[in-house]
Amino acid sequence: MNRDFLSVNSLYKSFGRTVVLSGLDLRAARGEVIGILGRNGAGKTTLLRLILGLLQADSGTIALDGKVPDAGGAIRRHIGYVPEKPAFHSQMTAEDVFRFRSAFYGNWDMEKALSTAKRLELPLDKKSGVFSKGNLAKLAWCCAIAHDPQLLLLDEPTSGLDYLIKDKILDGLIGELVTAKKTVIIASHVMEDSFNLIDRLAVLSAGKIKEIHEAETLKAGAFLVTARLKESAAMPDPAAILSSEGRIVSIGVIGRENLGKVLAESCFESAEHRPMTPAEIFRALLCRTKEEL
Amino acid sequence: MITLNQTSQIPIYDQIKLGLKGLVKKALLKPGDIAPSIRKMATDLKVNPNTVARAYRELTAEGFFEASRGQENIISPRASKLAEAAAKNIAQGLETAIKSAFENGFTWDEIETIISSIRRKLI
Amino acid sequence: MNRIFILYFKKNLPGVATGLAVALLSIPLLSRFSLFADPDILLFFWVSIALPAAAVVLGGMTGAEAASETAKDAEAVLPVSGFARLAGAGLAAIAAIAVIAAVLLAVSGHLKHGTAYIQGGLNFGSAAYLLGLLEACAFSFVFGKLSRSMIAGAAAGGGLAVLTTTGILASVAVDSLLLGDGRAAYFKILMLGVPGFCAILSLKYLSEISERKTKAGLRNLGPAILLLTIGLIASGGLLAVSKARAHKLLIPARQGDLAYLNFIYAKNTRDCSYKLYENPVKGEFSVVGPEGRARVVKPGKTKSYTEFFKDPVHYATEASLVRGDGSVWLVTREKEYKLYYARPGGPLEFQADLGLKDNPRLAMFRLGDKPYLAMTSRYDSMQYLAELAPGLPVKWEFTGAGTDEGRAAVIKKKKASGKYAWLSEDKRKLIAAVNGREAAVCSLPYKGAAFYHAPLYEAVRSGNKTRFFLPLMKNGKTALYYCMPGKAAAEAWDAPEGYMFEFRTNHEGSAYTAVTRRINGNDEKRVFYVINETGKMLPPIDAGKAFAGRSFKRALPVKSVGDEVFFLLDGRTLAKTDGTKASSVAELGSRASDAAAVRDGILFRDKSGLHIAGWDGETRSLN
Repeated sequence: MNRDFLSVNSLYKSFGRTVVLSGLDLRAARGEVIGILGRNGAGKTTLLRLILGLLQADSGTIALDGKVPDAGGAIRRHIGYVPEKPAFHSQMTAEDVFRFRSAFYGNWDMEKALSTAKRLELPLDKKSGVFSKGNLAKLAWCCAIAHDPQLLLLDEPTSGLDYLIKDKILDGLIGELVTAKKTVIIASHVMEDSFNLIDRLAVLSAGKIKEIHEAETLKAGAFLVTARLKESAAMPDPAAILSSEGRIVSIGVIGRENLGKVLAESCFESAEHRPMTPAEIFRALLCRTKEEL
Repeated sequence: MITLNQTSQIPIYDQIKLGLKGLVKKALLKPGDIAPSIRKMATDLKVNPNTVARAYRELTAEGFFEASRGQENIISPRASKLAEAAAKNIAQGLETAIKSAFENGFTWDEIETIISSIRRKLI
Repeated sequence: MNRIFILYFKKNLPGVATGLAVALLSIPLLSRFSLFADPDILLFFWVSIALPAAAVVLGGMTGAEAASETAKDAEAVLPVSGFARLAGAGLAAIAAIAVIAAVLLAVSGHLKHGTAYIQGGLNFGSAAYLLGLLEACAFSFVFGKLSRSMIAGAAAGGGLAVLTTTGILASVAVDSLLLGDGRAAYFKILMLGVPGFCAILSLKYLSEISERKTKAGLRNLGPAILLLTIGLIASGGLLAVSKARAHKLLIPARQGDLAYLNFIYAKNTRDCSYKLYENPVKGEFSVVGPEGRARVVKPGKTKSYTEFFKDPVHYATEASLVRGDGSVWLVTREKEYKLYYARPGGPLEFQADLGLKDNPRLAMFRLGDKPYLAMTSRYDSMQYLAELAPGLPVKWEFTGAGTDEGRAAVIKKKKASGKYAWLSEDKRKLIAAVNGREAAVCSLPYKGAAFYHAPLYEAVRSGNKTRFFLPLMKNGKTALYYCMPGKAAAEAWDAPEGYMFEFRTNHEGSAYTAVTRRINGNDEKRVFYVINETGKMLPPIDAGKAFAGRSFKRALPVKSVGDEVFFLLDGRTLAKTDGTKASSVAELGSRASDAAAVRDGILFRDKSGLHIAGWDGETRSLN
């Protein structure tokens, strides 16, 4: 697969003395849906803002279909961005926002914006200053897709939204994936909602993409091993332990090949295993990064 | 219509295929019916449309769908036969396995214990 | 950027409109109250306080608003650069202020004296005011953005604008008032627009650092700081240059204030080989000698900036006299009147405190070979005269009450000096004082007439000849005669029509008089009678004919060489003629002033300092 539609190489970014990204690499093919999992403060938003050109990297390169984000902001014509906390000029209604933004994009589709708003049940004539969190998310979503961008960046797209709104937003996203081959990056610290949408899952920790898995492979090869430790034996890999009670430990294992190894550990008296739920998978992935934070 | 098992080892696209086959087996879907569109299926199940597309492609290859006429996927007349045949094969296989378990001295309880542990493993 | 401009302009419009309405309505409403009865006072208030305040407040507010998180979140995600976003907002604030100012200025044209306050000095003042206003708004926007606070932005922006404007305007004042360099002043006023423009440009680099969080290296911080401070640097630089130029200024020291005694002054320019100049900024005096070199005779002090601002200029000369040998007498007034004397080639040395009270009028002049200081009290017109000698105390001699008595006293002294002759009672003899005793110099064939306003005839020395020139009434018309001591009177030139002024001498010994005809009600000195440096009487020169093709108002003979006479036309052109042929020698330039003949040429002053135009046409600078 030709993974150079979006290519991020060796990205470094620090704010003052705080290092946020230290050598981050990420490559995506056109039409891929990538989930980025990371703890709060891991640098997901920083990465997205760097791709948008809203921040300037200390070093490293970013290229979207050959285009480079610069101070001029032209790359944002090709990117649809739904930020974590969408904000608009409070005196503008949704329709005002559409009209205002339409002037900035060459291929703004007002029909699409309005019909998406209608489908999401977004009021067009109320001032955005009084919008609830859900309405703000809906408005941001409409704005993000109205100019038919090649890349969609979604920052915590479903967090804080109720089930019904979540459904609507995800419906919209799926609709976009059906109609056109769009590349999507979903950055979140909760991945359950999008687990079935993503092609690959990247784990962002310690300023880098620590690991990246095909979603299918991850699901097929994630097991929860519950084992009993032999008397006075120590765990060879404490990082993998999800929980422990006396001599009974729960370990998250990623990869079928690792399952056999873990089950054969000499320090175990007995062990059994089952597939992990998505939530358990994410916890396991993040737990492995615990010591680095 | 179809329920996905998030913790299953079985990949989503396989679950979709099995789900559709199950619907046909229960006569909830009959040959000649139009299967839900990829978009509808993806939206309802909250999965990547590519995943649904893959399942549908394979179903078409297996003969479960009629060779596609435009956008629609129509349940082929062979589908129920395929579903029945698959079910019959599996039932037969199970019977054979359990019979041989008995012959090897397993009790019903032991067999049930094995079934439970397989269940945990697989699903 | 246009869309952002429109967005912010629309945001500011309600505030602008309200402000405008309040401003316009307040004028007729408040003028009902006696305090504000005069609409001009209100207008003055709006112009000098309210509008500048509005400029910095609006600028600071818009800047803080544009930098707020909500604005950034709502706008930054759009495909415009951070610079375009900020510049659009900043320019909207500036445009709003420009609109208010334009309306107020236009309205003021309809109020009676309103224009005087704002448009006085006119293009200068209005342009400076408007540009300063917009600059203050621009600075306030930038600092409002940086500090995210309207108040901090307004304060810092206003402060920076005040500093920048003060420096530039002070330099403009020095240029136009002291140095007479209006063109440079006008250019500097226009420059007032530049710092504000640069401030907006600096947003390009500031947005890199503050929004895109680029490492604040030299590439971004350098240009940003430069653009923000360029106004201050230019302001300081221009002020420094103007201050330096002011310290090099040389203004001719005046002889004094007794205009009504003008016939006493050195109409003979023989003493003009040396000229005294004052630098009123430094308090320094210099003497320029005949060869055209300036020598400091009383050193001054370079002023610091605070001193310069407090008291930039002080013209200290009350009266001065420069002798033909280069000696100098000077009366200065700082707080007290002080008398100074410089020997030829030496520095000015303090002679005495004059202890004068009540601000009298002073003048210095030469009577015969002696220097005199004359004083007239402003309140009772009492006249006093004192003969000056180095090292001796000043003794005032009362010469009378009123100008006539004072003049009579001076005439008496002139007669006693032996350098002047006068007519006898019957006007048939010329009398002069020889060795202290009055004696007849020569007898006249006709009765003598008087030169215009002058009862005395000065001895004219040129070459080694001494002559007294005087008009005689020959057959009902005036004829110019001269007599040399011991010889009979002879006719000088054919009786000219019109009336003559007395003879004046030049430094190298030539002398001249001119016949004035009244044409169209104006006096026109056109025909000159010149005695050249060897004492030869040249044929009359009609300046109008000799310099035909050139238009001039005043012609002054300044030197003669053989049959040629050099003329200074309107103080700006040096030309020579022999009566028939004329040629241009040197152009002093339209900005030349205080032109005077010295030994080596014409000494004159223009905005770049002192120059001397040589008799050969070569002009060189004395600075």
